[in-house]
Amino acid sequence: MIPVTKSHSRAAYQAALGGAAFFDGSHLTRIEHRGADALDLLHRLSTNDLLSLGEGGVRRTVITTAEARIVDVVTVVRRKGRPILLIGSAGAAQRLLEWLDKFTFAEDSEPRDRSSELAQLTLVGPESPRMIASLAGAEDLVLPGGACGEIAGNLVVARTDALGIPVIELVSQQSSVGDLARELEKSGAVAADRAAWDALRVARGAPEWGSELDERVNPHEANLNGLIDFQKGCYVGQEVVARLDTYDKVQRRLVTVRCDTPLVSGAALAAEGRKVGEVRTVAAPEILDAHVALAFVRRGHWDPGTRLAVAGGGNAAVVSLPLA
Amino acid sequence: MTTQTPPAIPINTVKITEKAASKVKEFALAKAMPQFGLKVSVKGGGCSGLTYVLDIVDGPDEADKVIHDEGIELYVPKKAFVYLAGMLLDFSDGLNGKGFTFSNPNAKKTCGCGTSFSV
Repeated sequence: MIPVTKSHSRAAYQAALGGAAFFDGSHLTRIEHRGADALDLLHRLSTNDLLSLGEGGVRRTVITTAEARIVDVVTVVRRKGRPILLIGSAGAAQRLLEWLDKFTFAEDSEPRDRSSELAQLTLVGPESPRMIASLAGAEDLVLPGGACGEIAGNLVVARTDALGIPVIELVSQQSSVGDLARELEKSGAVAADRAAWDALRVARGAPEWGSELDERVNPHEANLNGLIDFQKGCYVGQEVVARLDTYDKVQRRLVTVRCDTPLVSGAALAAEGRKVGEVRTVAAPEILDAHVALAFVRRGHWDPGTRLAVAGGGNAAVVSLPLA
Repeated sequence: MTTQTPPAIPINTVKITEKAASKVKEFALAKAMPQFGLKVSVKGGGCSGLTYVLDIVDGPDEADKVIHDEGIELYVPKKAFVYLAGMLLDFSDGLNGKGFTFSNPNAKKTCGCGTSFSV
C-alpha cells in the first residue's frame, strides 16, 4: 500500500475532474507477456482490435468466453522494445494465466505474473498529462490518449482515459512508489481514496470486477461496447457478442440511478411491483451531494428518466451520464 | 438432400480420407516438397474458442504425434491432440464445397463457418 496521508474523498473527486488525483492501483493485476505471438494471441481472445496496436500504444479490451461472458477487462500496454504489460482486475492473475495457457498451443507466448513485484498508481484528471511531463523533466511532452512511455527506464506510464477523462496508469517498482506518490503530491495531485474512486466510477458508469463484473456478465450489459471492434473478425466469443448487438438481444444494462433516500448495494429495484434491477456500487453521498449508485436494470427500464422503486423505500430514476 | 454419418474413428488417432489426402499431396507437389507431412493443430481464437490449423510442413516437431494414414503423415501436437482425438479430416470440393472439413467428436459447439469449435 502507498502512504495516502491527506486523503479527502470529496476534494480528491473534485481534483480528478478539475486538476489531478491519484489512486493506489497496487491491488490490480500486472502480467508481463513476453513472446512474438503474445499480441496476436490476445487479439484472438478479446473484443478489441489489437493487431493495429503499434509499439508505444495502449488499448483496453475484454477477454471473453465462447459464450461472451467476461474473463476480465484488461489494458494492453505495448511498450517499445519491451514485453507487453497487461493490467487486469484485482486478483485476476491466476484466472488470466490459466485462460492464456488454455489457448496456447504452438505460440511463442510467455505470460508471467508480476503483480507483487510492481506497484501502481492511477493518476486521473485534466492536469495528469502535464504532471507526467513534469516527472519526465520535459515540460513540453504530451502523452496522448492511447499512448505509453517509460520515464527513467523503470516507470511505465500508460494513458487509457478509461473514465472518459485523462487517466494515466503509472507502474513502478515497489521500492519507488512512495517517492512517486510524494512527487505527484508536490506537483499538486491529491492523494485519493477508494470512496473517491467509486464515486468517479458511479458518475461515469464504469464497472469494476467483483462489484459489477463477473463471469456471468457480457460486455454489452456492462457499458463496455466502446471496447468492442465489430469489424475485427473472429475472436473467442465474437459470434455471441455480434448476435446480441445485431438482434438487439441484450437483456440488462448497467446504469447509474439517483434516489431520494440512501441506497445500499444489493437493494432490489422494482417497476410496477416487479423486480427489474439491483443496486451495485453506491457512491458516498457526501462526495456527489446525492444518493447515486451503479445498478443493473432489465430491458425496458434503462433509458434516462425511467423511474424505479427501491426495495425498503425510496424512489430512484435512471440518470444521464456523466454526472458532474 | 441426405446426410452421411461419418465413419466412427478410434479415439486414439486422427484420420484423413483418401480425397483429403490426395488434396494434400496436390498442394505439396505445387510447393515442390519431396518430403512433407500435414500438421493438424488448433489455435485459440475463432468464434467458439478453438480454430483448426492445417499446414504442409517438411517434418514433425518434437512434441508432435505422428500418424500414418492414406499414404501421408499427419503431425498432431500433443497438446492439440486432446482436442482432436477421433477426428476425421475430409475434403469437400465443387462450387459449394467447403474445402477441408472436420468431423470432430470433441466439438460440443461449432461456429457458423465450421472452422471454430468449443469443447
